[in-house]
Amino acid sequence: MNDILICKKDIGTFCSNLKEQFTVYGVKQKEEGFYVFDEIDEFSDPLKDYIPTILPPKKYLFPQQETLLRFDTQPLPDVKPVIESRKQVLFGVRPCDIHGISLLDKIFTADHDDKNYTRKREETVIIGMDCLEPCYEHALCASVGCLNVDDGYDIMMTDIGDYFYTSIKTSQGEEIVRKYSKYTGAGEEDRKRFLRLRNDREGKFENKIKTDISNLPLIFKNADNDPVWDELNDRCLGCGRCNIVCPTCYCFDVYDCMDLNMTSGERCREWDACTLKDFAVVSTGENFRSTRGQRLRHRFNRKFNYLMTRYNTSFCVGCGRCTRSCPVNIDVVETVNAVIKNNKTDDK
Amino acid sequence: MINNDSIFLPEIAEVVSTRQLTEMEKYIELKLKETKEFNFNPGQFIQLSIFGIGEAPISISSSPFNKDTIGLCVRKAGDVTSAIHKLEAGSYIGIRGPLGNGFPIEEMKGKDLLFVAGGLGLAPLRSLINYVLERRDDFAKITILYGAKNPGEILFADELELWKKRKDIAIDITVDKPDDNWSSKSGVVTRLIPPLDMEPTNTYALVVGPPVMYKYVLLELQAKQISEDHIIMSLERRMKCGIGKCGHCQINGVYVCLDGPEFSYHTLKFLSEAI
Amino acid sequence: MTKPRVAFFSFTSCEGCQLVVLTIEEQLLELVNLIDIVSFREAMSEKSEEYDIAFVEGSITRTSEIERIKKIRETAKVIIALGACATIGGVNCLKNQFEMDKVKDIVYGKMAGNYETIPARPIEAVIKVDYWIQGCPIDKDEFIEVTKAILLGKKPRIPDYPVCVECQMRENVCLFEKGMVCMGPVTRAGCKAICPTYNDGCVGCRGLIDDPNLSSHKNLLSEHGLTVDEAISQYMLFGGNSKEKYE
Ligand SMILES: Cc1cc2nc3c(=O)[nH]c(=O)nc-3n(C[C@H](O)[C@H](O)[C@H](O)COP(=O)(O)OP(=O)(O)OC[C@H]3O[C@@H](n4cnc5c(N)ncnc54)[C@H](O)[C@@H]3O)c2cc1C
Ligand code: SF4
Ligand code: SF4
Ligand code: SF4
Ligand code: SF4
Ligand code: SF4
Ligand code: FES
Repeated sequence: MNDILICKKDIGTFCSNLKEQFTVYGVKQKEEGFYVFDEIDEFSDPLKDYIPTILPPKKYLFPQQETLLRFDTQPLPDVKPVIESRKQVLFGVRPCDIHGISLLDKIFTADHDDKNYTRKREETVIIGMDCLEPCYEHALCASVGCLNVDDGYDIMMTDIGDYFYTSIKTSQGEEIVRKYSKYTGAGEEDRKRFLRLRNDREGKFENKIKTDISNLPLIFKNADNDPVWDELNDRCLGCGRCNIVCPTCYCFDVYDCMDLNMTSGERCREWDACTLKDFAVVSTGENFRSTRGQRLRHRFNRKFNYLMTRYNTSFCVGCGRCTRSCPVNIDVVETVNAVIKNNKTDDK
Repeated sequence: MINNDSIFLPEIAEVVSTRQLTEMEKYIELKLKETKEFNFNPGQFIQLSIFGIGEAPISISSSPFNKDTIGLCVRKAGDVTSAIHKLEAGSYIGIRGPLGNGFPIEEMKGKDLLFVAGGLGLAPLRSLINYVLERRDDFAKITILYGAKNPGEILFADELELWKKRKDIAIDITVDKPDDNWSSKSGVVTRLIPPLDMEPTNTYALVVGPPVMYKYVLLELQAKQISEDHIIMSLERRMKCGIGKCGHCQINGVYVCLDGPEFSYHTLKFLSEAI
Repeated sequence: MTKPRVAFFSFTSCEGCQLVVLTIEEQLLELVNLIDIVSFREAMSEKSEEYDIAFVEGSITRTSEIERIKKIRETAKVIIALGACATIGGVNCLKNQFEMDKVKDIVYGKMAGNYETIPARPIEAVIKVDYWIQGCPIDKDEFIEVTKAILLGKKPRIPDYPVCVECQMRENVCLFEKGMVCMGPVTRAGCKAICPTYNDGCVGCRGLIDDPNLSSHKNLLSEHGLTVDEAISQYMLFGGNSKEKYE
């Protein structure tokens, strides 16, 4: 389908119509300056200038807590998988978060397909909302190559004034627009306007990481003993917030929960965080990352080295949430740049 | 096998026999209810479920030629392992696996093999030893070194006796703390390495033991000039999923569950938190 | 299977934690299928000297209580400290900052001579404790989880991570971002971050995590305008018993 225009005043109806078939999640303001994804019931004007939500929309694909199995132990063990999913629309997902979801897609399908994730993902329609300005000072999306998205969404909307310039990526996206929305085809003028706005934004997003990100794996590889980690060791509270708010953190714990009858119960998973003390403790008592500095080093390496090498793409999508939420101002950009500064191999 | 409906769904297995090996270690033999033939490579592990308590990764200790049952040697360490100790024949539990890759048997063929087992490390190595003894002609010289804390902690004592009697393998056992009845060697297992007569270029060393052991074994093996990619070690890490999702077992860029649990030193030396 | 006998005991406390146990109605009925409650001061009058599991609420603040808790330890196979007073000393320890005679004078005035008081302490300062249910008051779900775990023979899943983890999972706006202060980053989770969720700073009623970064947290408090004394008094509200850690 060619690009279309959806009039801003029609967006409310579009979203309301979607509820016929989907649960619709969109962005709400929780408190002044703080936004969350939440179920949208009344659609007035959708929010425009929102900055990244406290938690990324991954919570609808990989919830904080989730049941994996239900079991009965009597008379013989009987176990059934529990895989919940529902038809859902995530409305107004920003480019950084679309990249985040694409990375989770990779993780949960690599080697073994994690149906608890993929089943939800298959039933999810993503309607993106592009960014023409840096959302806030912590954004580093452009710097890690995640401002532009060409995949991972069904529909992408860009604010060009009275209209959303709307590109349709998938057949499902097309079906939804045809069924639920008023729209007109985008003309040549609209297209030019759209492209101009997109072009203009390039200059507005500074590149904050002071090297080409493809250099980062090697730089981090040589930075195991960097003093940065000692400094962070003193400062970091080990509170786990940077993990919890990150769209690409996916580590989890698994535990059993018995019902009060003591014969049946559930196996569940819950978000875990590699900055927490017990994350890598083994049965013999060893903790392979016993200091906060080592654990943060691990977290940064996951974003810019370990997973980046394994999947050949940055695992930081630049949303800036970790920086914003760290109580002691540990800043992802500052940290990466400090590592770069201390570990530049030569001046390429 | 990983279930198609859910990677977390275990298959039910029956405990067909149990045997108390030492005060802390119990051997249990399992039979899967659905799967008729359980194929695996020595060095692979399973995730064992006690429903209501949890899951724990346990190495397969039985011979890969026995496809009927799965033998595990379990040390009482916490919740799941203590619950395993309470199991009797006729109980049912859950299993996911085999998981991980196992030892690189194809590469090892035709080579001298040096087994170095510390404590519970004998459990996974026993599977491999059973394999090579069955296929004795595929391998050259075989030496088994085993160290336990004290005589009471020696695992599979009856099998060790049988192995000792064989003329086609060499075996040496030591305990850290001998008691009055102990007449063999004492001291840590690493001390058994220097006196060995080895052909470094033709030897594979297969090392499994507690995390503290590796550093010292490595020094001895390097002193013998065994090449780094011929030193294979099996690592223990915290594991929740066993299939590369939960992130717990990650060492730098590798997942122990998915990429291991056996690694050559050549790989491990580049991983800062491995040994 | 014979049902384990369970007793509840109260030491110096407001007995609010036992009250929480009494408010879990439906589950309590199911729990009674699994355990025999033989002694429960809040719920019934009869007492039994035979029990396997003892839930102990309150801190030790008198010499007579030392003898009593030791007796309980001799009888019970498993002892669970219930609530902040029992687990960490809690608010009772506030008085430890003063001379005991002064405390008596302030509390009892002329009658002070009739009372005896010693610095307040958690029960583990006197006897070995097997499990801890933190909080002021305790969280009823956690109480049920711990009870189930004990019956199953496994370690209860008690977090050793800070309140922030739960707070962030609930998608709360962090109080530090609103110019308030919070003990969440150094306090053990398990309460589902109930205070920050209702816009109150955590005051640390569940005690410190095992490895808190107190110096960094103290800096954080001072950046948010607290003086050293104010910061310490934040810690002391519930953590008076671990005073040495804060100074
Ligand atoms: C690949 C692999 C193969 C293995 N093979 C075998 C084998 O063949 N036989 C065998 O007996 N074992 C084996 N193990 C080890 C075994 O998996 C562990 O002993 C087991 O997972 C312990 O589980 P548990 O529930 O019994 O203990 P848990 O209850 O989980 O606790 C075990 C101990 O770990 C510590 N611990 C646990 N959680 C924490 C925490 N949050 N904070 C601090 N400490 C904690 C405690 O000290 C506790 O005593 C293997 C492990 C791996 C990774
Ligand atoms: S590391 Fe920080 S900036 Fe990067 S994706 Fe995660 S939360 Fe966002
Ligand atoms: S970080 Fe970048 S992509 Fe994400 S919301 Fe902000 S400007 Fe948009
Ligand atoms: S949010 Fe900040 S203080 Fe908390 S764990 Fe992350 S880096 Fe450390
Ligand atoms: S409000 Fe308190 S508990 Fe919540 S995230 Fe902030 S510091 Fe942590
Ligand atoms: S938030 Fe803090 S003070 Fe409030 S209940 Fe939890 S631990 Fe106690
Ligand atoms: S055990 Fe979960 S990733 Fe390896």
